[in-house]
Amino acid sequence: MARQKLIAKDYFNLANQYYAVYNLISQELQSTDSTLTDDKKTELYEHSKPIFKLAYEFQKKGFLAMPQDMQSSVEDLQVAVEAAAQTISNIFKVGKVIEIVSGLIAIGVVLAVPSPKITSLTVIPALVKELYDDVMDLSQG
Amino acid sequence: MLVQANERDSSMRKFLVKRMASWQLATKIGGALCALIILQACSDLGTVRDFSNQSAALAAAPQTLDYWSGIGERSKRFDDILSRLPPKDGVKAKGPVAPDSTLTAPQLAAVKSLHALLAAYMTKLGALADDNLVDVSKQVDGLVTNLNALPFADTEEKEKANAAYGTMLKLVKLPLNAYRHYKIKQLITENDDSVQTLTDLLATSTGSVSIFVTSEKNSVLTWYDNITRAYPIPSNVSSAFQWKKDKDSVAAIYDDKAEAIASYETALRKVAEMHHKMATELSSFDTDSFKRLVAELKSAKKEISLAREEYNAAFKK
Repeated sequence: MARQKLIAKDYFNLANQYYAVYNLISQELQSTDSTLTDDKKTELYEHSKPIFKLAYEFQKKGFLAMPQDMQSSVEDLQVAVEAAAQTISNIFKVGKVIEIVSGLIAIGVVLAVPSPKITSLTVIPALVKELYDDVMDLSQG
Repeated sequence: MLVQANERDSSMRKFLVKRMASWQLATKIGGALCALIILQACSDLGTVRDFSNQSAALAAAPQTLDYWSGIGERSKRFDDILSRLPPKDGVKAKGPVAPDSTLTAPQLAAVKSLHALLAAYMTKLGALADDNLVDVSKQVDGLVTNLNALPFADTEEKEKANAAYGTMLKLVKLPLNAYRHYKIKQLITENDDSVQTLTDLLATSTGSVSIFVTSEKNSVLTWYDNITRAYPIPSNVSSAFQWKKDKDSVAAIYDDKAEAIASYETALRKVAEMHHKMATELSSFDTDSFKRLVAELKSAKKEISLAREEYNAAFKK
């Protein structure tokens, strides 16, 4: 069943076709071999103007339809970008935790505690467990 | 003093033993993943990173839309010429054809956000594919240095223990790398359809703008011819030469831009094509196909990079 509504790509295709007609007329107007008289050229020039304007209008409609047409893909990609940022943050966290522990040792915090309980360091095994689960999912999937 | 030193020594030793035990898990995981890692070592993610970063830079370029929407402003540059021409039959001379209106700033921003989203996606993909992300060597070396600086009774034993601890800690790179590979594949395969749809429409709209630029060039050139018919130039060699020179210089400005935007369209389609190849071949675990993909990614990166340079150069004029 034919679509009832034009989508962005349809508008751009229409615009391209109107521009193609406009460019053909322009080539004729600029051709040194043209058999048209000056008056005819001026008349054709004036008549070509609305074609250009119409093509531009279709492009406007195309651009306006783009965000709507892309809504579902945009939502998916936004989620993907956030998920990727979270993954980067998770990986980065491991290095950061090591850095923090290193800093604690450097300023003597570790030595000041008789039985060292560095809570931030305990994040690492938990994270490794999560990584392990993810990789296992992959090998099973 | 000696008792205190021994207590600290014992406390620190316990601490190290405890940490080593917890990190044995990482070592085990590293071992279990060995085959996977070796296979994935063939995956030169540097090429994925470079390709993604170039694609991101390309997608982020907003000049095409600004140029397209700026036609009204550009046509004003002829106002000075037109004001010097006397009216013909009571009608003032007009400039080249221009649209009655263009998109508003928020409408343009909505379209630009689609380019920005593709750029954001490719940037994140590039960041995930960066080997430095999983390399904790620097942090671990810093930690080992600080541990070595602690006051222990037996320096040699302390340094050995710390070095072993550091080596184990560096093994965290293995599961991290496997995790990263998994996430990259997941990101690419799950979003391939969306990337294809988005890049196709962005490329289609960009291609249409390239045709617009050629049409705008024709609108200026035909206007130039038309105004010359209405206000004839003196019939001498100097005027004829200048007339031709003016027309050629106008044409050159537009031709560069139209060509650059057309290359931009081609490059966007290349981004889509390579993303689809990655989606297909990254999940295959086939080293041969990955080698082919890497070669193609390198070549695509070059093409995209050249298109971006050409594009930037055309819009600096």
